[in-house]
Amino acid sequence: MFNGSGTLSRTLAVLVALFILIPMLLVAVMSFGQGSSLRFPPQSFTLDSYAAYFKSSSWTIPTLNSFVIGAFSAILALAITTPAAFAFTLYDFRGKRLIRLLVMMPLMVPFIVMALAYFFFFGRIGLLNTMAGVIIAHACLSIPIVFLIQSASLKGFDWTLVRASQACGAGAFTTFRRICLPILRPSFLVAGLFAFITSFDETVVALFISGRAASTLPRRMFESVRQESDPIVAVVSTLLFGVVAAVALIVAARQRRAARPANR
Amino acid sequence: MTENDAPFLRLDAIVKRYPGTPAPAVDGISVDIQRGEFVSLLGPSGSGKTTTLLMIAGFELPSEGRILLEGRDIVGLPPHRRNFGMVFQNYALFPHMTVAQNVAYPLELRKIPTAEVRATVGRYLEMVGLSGLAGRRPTELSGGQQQRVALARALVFSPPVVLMDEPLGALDKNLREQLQVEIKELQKSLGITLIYVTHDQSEAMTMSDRIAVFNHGRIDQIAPPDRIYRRPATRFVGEFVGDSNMIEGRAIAGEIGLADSPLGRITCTDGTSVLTSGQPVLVMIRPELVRLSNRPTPQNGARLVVSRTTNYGDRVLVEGIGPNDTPLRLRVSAREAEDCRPGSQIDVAWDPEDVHVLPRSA
Repeated sequence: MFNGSGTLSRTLAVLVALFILIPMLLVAVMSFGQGSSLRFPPQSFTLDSYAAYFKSSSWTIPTLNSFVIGAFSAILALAITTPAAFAFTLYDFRGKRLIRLLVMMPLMVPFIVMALAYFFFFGRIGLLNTMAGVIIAHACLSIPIVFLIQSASLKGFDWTLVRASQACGAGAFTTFRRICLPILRPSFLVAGLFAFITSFDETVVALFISGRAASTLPRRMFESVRQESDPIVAVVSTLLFGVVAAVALIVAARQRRAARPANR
Repeated sequence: MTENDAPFLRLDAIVKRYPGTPAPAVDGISVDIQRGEFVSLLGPSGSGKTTTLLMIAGFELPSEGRILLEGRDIVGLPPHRRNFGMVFQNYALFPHMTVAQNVAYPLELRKIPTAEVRATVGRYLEMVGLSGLAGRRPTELSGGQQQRVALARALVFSPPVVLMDEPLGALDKNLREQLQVEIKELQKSLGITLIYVTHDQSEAMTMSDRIAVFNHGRIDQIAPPDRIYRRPATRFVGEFVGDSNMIEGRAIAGEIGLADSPLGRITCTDGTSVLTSGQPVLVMIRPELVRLSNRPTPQNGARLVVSRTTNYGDRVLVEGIGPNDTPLRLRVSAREAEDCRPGSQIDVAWDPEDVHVLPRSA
């Protein structure tokens, strides 16, 4: 009944996919519409809104901001989480469970609560409405997912390789650089991509703390929908969807490649 | 003792305690190993043999004691500065490197010029019979081939000492025997000092110059294989290495080399020093040295009732019950075994030279 080739299961899969995709497709169709407001169905198709998007610095700057913030928060999250993941995998220490709970905290605390906390705290230390502030906040938010992915890959890592490398004459740093890093790099890249997407996608905290100077794309979109109902929003949504889909495909392809030698 | 008389590698009263465990994992081990010697550390799991190897390698620190290489204490040296080759049970090849890159790795770390690295790697790959596979990845190789790569990687930088931790444990029997021969030949032709951890007694028997038998963190005996087999120092060694009959007896007062046992009087030519009057002794006779006899033997023999036979193909193990309900095992040929049906009576005998005597306390 539940065999993979069953017509029923295939129909169900297609229905679910449509259920998820149709709203996205509606937005994509609207992005090609004419006029200065969002309408469905559009009267005629044009690329005017796309041109408007790329010409308007009120859109391109937040886009750039989002990429910069995403990239730096991913790097920051990796820099914080990598030593932690190593320590959690290799050592037992007092308070390990408590610290793990702390590391996973951003996953459990509602974003709006985090956003408020950042709003007041960053206000005091002068990080409100700055790129640095958003980068720090987003890095914190993506720590749990990065930590989980890295821990999983470290758990699967064959630690005798470290001993083998030492027995070959390599010190700790050389072993990390020549053995651990090349083997772990694919999964660490995946972790970084997830951190990037988390940041790129995040709206609530960005709304509270990014301000005009460091406005991210989701924040700009939110303002646009509220104030202008501009068809450019549909353009941005379509582009965003494209970017996320591309990243997801890259990740899937990488994992497939990583999984291949093990199947031999 | 002068520098020159000092052993090549000396373990001096090594103790390893782990926090939270009452008994030390290694409890005062002292061994001298000569240059070019093949020494096996043999014992059941948890006997301390692997811990000892890891301390020699530098991956574990001894709680007490010294490890001397040519008279110099190396306990303070980290593993990568000891310059020892090591082979692991699970091969531990670097999956992101080719076979040649794996073998070249120790040489690159030693800043050897590229041309020389290439030549040396080629020579060692040829030595282990993998010349054609230099460009392959470890995942593309069979278990036996992978362990050959690991072997080449451990030998390629001509280390003074090579350590192997159950290197053949993951391989099937035929391949294991083939690699035993190859490792032994490599060790001999290259003059390698090799310390080899195994729980497989036949592996230790066939390969080693000397075997150190581990029991609960101590070495019960360290000796050449035939001595370990024929003259075990303790009951544990006798029972762990090979099959054995252990008969509890008592030395007869006033007689030299004679013990009283449930199987009657047994003459002992070896170990007479423990045979002082009335002392409880343990008499060991290997089952393959007990033979069928066509007449009852009053001394150094017994009449058995066969309880079970097990055919191993080359030999048949016959288990019987002798006088005073004393069990005795013997190995005979398949043709001899035809007379040994369960329930039948057989007479057996052994030569006094094949009897080994131990103090009962050991």
